[in-house]
Amino acid sequence: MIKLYKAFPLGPATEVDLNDFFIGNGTQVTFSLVNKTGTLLNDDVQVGATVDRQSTGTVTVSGNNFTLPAAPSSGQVITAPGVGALEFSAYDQSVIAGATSPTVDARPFIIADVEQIGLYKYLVPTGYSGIQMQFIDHDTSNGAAASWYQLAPANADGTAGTYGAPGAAIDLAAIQNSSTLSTGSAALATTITVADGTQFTPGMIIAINYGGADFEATTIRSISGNVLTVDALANAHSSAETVIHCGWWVWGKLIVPINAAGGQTAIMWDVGCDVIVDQESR
Amino acid sequence: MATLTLSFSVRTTVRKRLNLSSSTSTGVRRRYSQSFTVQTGAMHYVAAASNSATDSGNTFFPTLIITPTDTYVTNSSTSPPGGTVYSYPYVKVDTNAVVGTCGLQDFHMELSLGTMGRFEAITQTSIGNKGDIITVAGLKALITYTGQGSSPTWQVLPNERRLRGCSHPQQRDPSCRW
Repeated sequence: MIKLYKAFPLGPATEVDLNDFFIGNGTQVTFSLVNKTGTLLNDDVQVGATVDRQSTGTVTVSGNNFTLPAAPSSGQVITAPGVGALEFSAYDQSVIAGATSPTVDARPFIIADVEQIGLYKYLVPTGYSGIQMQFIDHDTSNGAAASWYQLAPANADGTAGTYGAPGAAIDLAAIQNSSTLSTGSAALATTITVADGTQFTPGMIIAINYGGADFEATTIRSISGNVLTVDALANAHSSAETVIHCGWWVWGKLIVPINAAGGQTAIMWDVGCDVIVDQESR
Repeated sequence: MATLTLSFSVRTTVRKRLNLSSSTSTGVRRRYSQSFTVQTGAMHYVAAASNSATDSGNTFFPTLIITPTDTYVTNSSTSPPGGTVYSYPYVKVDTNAVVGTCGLQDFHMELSLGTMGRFEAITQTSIGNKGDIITVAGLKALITYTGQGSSPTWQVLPNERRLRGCSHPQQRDPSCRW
């Protein structure tokens, strides 16, 4: 399945977990996770404007269920994030000594599939202009707002491209193209030669030899014919190994409104980074 | 084919600033210094936020934020009058830059010690003429006006030597001045 990652290497340590959302009914205190197991539940669970925590004992976990200290009121949004999350942090004050842009935090992250990319491709859903990514405010009454966030596709050199409007979605091209290595490459190499360079564009993240012992992912920085210049490889690779486009870099930017939290620390989970994509078998 | 709609976890953290004034009771004096680099060349103009050509007769609140790490530049034609050397940055409202026929009225400026992260009015001055200069003892200026016009520019000028700032007036020492 397509996933978000905070950084390379793309694996469990950098993976961003899915949210689980629930709506309180005034009586329910125990909720069953759908999108992850109980061991992946974050320490924090946001209930309305409050954050309850496992570490303080206000959230308890049993199997894939978690229990809150009191029943959320009817209609109240409960956000149960995972332990892996995109983390944005900034001040709500315009002038902080030593901080150039205290209200802003921008950072790159990755949308990719490195686990099943040999089995699936990811296409633009019908009615959409691309694989859609968007920060969504799942509790508009509390916490952060989607309008605090902007998204941008990354440039080929890894820098941020043009940011969309606050809260707006961005569209990414399909993740489906592939080729094979036409020659082997050594570890630490920064170029590879593929059979069909037209399958790729600079900025793509590619999986080399998916499913193999020397599998790895890297980023294409430039292309000349069938020669791809990539971030240095960790492994040596052999001719005919698969090269599959498996993801994109994107940038997220948080701009905290002035006095959004009254100058105090606040942690909010109600804004999620949402992805809409078609997954199709190869 | 399956359409996936996935919501990934995002932690939004609003950080709390370091309260520099809280250290006095411990006897530890904290101070920071910040240099404003002075260059020659083009002026540093900051367009008024949230203004537009359609603004007319309304009060609005463009916020000019002078951040410590911004580079402010000046040139000889608009340097402080009389050769005055200011030990703090100042802001000049250039009404010539206003597009419109009616001009602006009722300028006033409220100043704050931005580094403290709280609003603290230091002075309030009415200005109405091009070239009027307001000194800014803090790092943030909130400028408001009523009247007609659009797109005024706020011109930020530096002092002509490097600036050293204090976190709080009570923490001044001889080497730390505004």
